[in-house]
Amino acid sequence: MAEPYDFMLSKYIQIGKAAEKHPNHTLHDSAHLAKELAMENFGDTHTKEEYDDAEMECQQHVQETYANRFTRIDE
Amino acid sequence: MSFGYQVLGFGVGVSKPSATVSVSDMASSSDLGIWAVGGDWVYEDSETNSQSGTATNWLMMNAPYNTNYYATTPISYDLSDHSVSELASDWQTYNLGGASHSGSGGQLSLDRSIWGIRSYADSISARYYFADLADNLESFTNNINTVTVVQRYGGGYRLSDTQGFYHAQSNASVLIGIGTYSGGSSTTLSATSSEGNDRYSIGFGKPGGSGTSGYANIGVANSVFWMNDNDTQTWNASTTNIDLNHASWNGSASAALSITANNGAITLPDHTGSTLTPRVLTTSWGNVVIHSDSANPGNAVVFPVTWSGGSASVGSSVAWNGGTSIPANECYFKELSGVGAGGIHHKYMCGQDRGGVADLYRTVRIYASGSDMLVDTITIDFSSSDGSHTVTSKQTAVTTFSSSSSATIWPIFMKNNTDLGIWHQDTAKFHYIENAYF
Repeated sequence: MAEPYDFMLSKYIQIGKAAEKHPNHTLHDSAHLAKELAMENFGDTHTKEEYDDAEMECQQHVQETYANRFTRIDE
Repeated sequence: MSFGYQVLGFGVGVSKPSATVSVSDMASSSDLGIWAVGGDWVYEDSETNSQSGTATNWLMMNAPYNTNYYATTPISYDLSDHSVSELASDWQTYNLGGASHSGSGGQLSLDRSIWGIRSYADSISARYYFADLADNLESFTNNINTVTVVQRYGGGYRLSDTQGFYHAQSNASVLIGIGTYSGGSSTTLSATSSEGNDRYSIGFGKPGGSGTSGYANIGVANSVFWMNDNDTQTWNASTTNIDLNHASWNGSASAALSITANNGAITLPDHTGSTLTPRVLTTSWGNVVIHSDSANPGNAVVFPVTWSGGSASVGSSVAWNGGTSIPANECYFKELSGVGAGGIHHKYMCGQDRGGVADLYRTVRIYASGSDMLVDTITIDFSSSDGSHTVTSKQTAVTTFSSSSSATIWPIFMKNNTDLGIWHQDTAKFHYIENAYF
């Protein structure tokens, strides 16, 4: 589980930092794109449910740790 | 704390009024958005503030509660001195058991809302609710769990004063349903749709055209549409295909949704380097799909969409009228029709003119200036069904989000049709702009 989660979290933060500078971004947009990149990277070595769970945990982590303020997350 | 200043207008003989801005500390930057607004500052004269004994003007701030749950901070706003008061301690809005809650929801009208919440309990169940508020704003009076689905996420979204929809999305499968709620303990729901990949969404809209009218309510009742690319949730810098998928309901309890796919309805311009998704607004004649491009702002375009039942007709794209001086990627469109689009939302995020000009939208441009973000107010006239439109600048650099690079806001478009409130999450400040529009 750590494998897609760590990769996805890194991408989610990277995408979210750029997106938050634009007023129409949504957390879902950034999270889905991060998941898509993870699925491209890891393929079917993980199940759809595992990718879903990792996506949820990424969103939860950034919400709880940073209150979704991506631009305040250190590089 | 509140402080105010005045942005001077032009000289004598020019009808541009001066804007006056009051900035107050509000809530905390760890809060997650405004999910309802009520009282005299936003209600029509025909609407009653059931919470008037608690506050003349109020809002409900979505707040984390012990990090694991969703809570609400009820806040009052005094227009006479622009002071902010928290009316009570945070109250726990949703606790489904287990750790870590997420999801979204928002106001339909008055004190009524729709929610989709998920926790890690019960195999990650997502639960959907219609709810109304107690008069003291410290609890729900009714909180009706209408649907529960396992291993899903998503949220509850506003369509109109009395209707919302729930959308449960995961990589495994997707479903959608529509419901009607007018407060109290009962609600009328469609059947939940079957699961299908065409239910994936990168953005929702309410079909425009003939149907209901009035601020934040225009469009065809009992219907919703959404965008995706080839029945996936894929969206990246190379995506140019947009399907427009439409669901309608006859309004009867448990009746099935009729879902129509309009595959390949739109082909966007190339947008290499930009991952911004298109946004949808509702008009009296149909909808506009606005494509913006953060890498090449001059590529922004608007597509007009009209409907015959569930079948969409898309006209030729029209260049964004704001060009690169008011670039579309810096303009706020999310939830600007009053339709939930992907996060915590409330009715008065709807920027439609409140003087009866249905297709005139008010909004803001937010853009970087040094280490700050500046705000302009603008209007956009979408009254032409061929998608041609007019972007007009109103107040320039009217307020500043200091030492911030975040454009995350919750606007409140006021009843008087001229004033605008903005809660800027990153700085946890509320900006009340008098004469933002004129």
